[in-house]
Amino acid sequence: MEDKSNILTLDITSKTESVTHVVQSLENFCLDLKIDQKVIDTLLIATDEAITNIVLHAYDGRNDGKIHVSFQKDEKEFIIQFTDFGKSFKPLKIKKKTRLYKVDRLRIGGYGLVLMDTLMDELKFKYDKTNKANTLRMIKYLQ
Amino acid sequence: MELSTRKEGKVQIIQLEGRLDVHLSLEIEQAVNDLIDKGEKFLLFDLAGVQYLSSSGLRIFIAAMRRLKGVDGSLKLANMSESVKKIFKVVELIDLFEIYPSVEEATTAFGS
Repeated sequence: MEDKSNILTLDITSKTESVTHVVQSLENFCLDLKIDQKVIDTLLIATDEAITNIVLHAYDGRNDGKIHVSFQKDEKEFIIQFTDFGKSFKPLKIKKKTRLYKVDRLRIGGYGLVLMDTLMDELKFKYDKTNKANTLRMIKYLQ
Repeated sequence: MELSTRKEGKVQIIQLEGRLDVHLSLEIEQAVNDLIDKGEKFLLFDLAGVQYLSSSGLRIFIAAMRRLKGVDGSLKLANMSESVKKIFKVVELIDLFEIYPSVEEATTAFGS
């Protein structure tokens, strides 16, 4: 039988305020589960970036889009999953090198994916054509 | 949102607090733009109270730096925690910014 105390699910709408709400809920959940603070910091940033991408890009700033969020702590890993019904998105390759020293040519955004990819151990994007749903699954190893 | 700011000589010190997520960062970016519009050219961000910084938070500094470059101004960062520094390192922006361990050292580095 699944231990529900290790699972947190949230249904939110695509507002920037939702980022603050989810991150706060995740932190409380992790503190209850006595997860190491350094790991918590990593999970908070990756979650922030994922929801921000959904709000700003999948839903193009619309504030009524649905987002389902789930957090699950297993013995060896922490699993985060987001489902949205906005524009489909599946990066072919995440560009790690961002270095550009000319300030006026420096890109102002696009760092979120790099952060998610670097801070988490697994990152999987999936698009379900039937339900027109995007799913992002991120995993952080705990051991 | 109100920014906590104070002026020391020519330097405008901006104290940031909390989580610089997309919601808060958009408001801060606008407030910083207002300061630059009013003629502030030397900005010092005190990050002692910043719990974490997302890529939306990075945008505040990149956008300000770009604007300040156009008016011969400059920007420095102080009191950065290790977790915030890690974010700058991951996206390889750490060398782009002048980072000081304290507000005093950063203020001195601006010169008179």
